[in-house]
Amino acid sequence: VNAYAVAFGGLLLLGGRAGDRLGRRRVFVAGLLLFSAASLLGGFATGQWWLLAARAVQGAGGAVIAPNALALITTTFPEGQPRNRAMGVYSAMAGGGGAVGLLLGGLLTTYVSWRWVLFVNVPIGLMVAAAAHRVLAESPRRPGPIDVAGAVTGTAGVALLVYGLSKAATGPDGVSHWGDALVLASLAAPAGTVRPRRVRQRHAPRDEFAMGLE
Amino acid sequence: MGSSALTVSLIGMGLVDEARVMVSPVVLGDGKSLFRTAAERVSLTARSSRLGLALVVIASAQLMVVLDATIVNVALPHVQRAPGFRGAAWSG
Repeated sequence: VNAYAVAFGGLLLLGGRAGDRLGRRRVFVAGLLLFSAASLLGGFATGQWWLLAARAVQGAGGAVIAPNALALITTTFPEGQPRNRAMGVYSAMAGGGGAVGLLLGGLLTTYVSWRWVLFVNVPIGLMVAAAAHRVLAESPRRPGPIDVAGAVTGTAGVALLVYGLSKAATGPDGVSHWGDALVLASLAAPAGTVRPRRVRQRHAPRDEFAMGLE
Repeated sequence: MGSSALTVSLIGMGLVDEARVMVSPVVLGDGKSLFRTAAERVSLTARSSRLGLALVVIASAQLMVVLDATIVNVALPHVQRAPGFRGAAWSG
């Protein structure tokens, strides 16, 4: 159930595409800065809506960071052992992040304040963004038309799907929500957003989402 | 530093102390080899490469995103106890 996941899932495809178009390092750094700024604002939240909005922006930042981090590994490391090793380290760090998050989350909320759960991202994000500029090579920009309508329908479709799945989860009261009209509508609607996109893409010179959602 | 021909002449005259080669893995096609026209082999030793640092940067970014997701989930019950944050479950 969350604002973060909806924004993250919805914008993931667009984030990866933006990296292809505008240069991966540039977009990667932009994602890091957006994520850090949203974390800072979220930490100062005085009410739930403020926090919700900040989390949604964080989700957008995350959606830009994740696909471009993976793409940067494949462009930075030559195929074969170096890339395999890099992928291994990357996956280990991702897994480690989950473990550290559990521990640190408990420690921070118990001994400091939940606000620090958001603030911790700020120094990490800023340091990584600064280092990325120095250490990573920029990938070439590929000018070309962006299929705006395809991007909007694709993003909306995935966001609705994530929303529907989040809502369908059984609540703390033990009630399952799979039959709710809102859930069914948001799960069914993406089919409508994906289909027109496929039809149009037969004519589009460039696939926005070459992997396809069908 | 100049063309590859100039580079090779300088290497041949023993004027090069250090070569910095930047590799961009997306360049395709063919062209002149960097050192092929050198008359004799000059042995070089690799001093540094930034691949390790690059990996640290990329992996740290991913670490931050994953860390954030779990850390916020752990903290949510606390957040919801704060006044004005009862509906914060949706911010997970």
